[in-house]
Amino acid sequence: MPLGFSPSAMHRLAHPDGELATSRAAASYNIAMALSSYSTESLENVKAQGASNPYAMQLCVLRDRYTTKQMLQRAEAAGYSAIFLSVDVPLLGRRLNEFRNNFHLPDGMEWPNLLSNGKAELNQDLSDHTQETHSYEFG
Amino acid sequence: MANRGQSWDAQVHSIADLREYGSKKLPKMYRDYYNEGAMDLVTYVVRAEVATQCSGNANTVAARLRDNEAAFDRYKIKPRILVNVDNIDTSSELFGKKVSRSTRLNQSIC
Repeated sequence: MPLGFSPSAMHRLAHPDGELATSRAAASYNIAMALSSYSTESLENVKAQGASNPYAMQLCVLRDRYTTKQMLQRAEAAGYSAIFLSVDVPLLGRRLNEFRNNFHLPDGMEWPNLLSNGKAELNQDLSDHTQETHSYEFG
Repeated sequence: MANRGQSWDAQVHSIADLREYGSKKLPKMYRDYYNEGAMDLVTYVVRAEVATQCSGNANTVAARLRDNEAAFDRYKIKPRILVNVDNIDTSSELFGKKVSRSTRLNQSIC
């Protein structure tokens, strides 16, 4: 049995039920789950699959502070107990597999927590790896 | 096989099995995304010779020893002995709620 689920992105790439199934598993075993900002199901729907087990939300401080703020407010309203704040991503690492495989979200899959369909972030010109909308900015 | 932890699947007996079995089912684009990281995957590769031997091979990622995981392997669980184990309770409290198990959670791709 897992000890708890750490946040990882886009579970629906692996299974159509995505983070909803992960949440149901966490609830049935009464273990903690932390949800990625880049989940492919909304934080509200994920939490709705839960029981008395605790939930945490992973957040980055995005350049667009409104996106971060609305996610924080939604997580609080939905009953998330804690925030996992990523502090080591002033720039996203160059994940070469994404460049080599032309990684993209399939049609019908989005990032509802970020209010984004992921197209602008993932289909960028490879000569410009700076992510304008969802880059991380501190200070 | 009495007195052993139960396996829930005929092919999956460990997290390593789960990764291997699951990876085979995924398209390359998603498999690489889940299994790899940034640039030279330095935090993944402990033994360079293993990676070199396997580079370009479909099993590269599975064959690599991962420094991030190895760091956890260095934690040792010290069993207590000669204590009453009639009623084992592994539950704990996390974020103010009772959970069956607890430990520090670590983050993967986001």
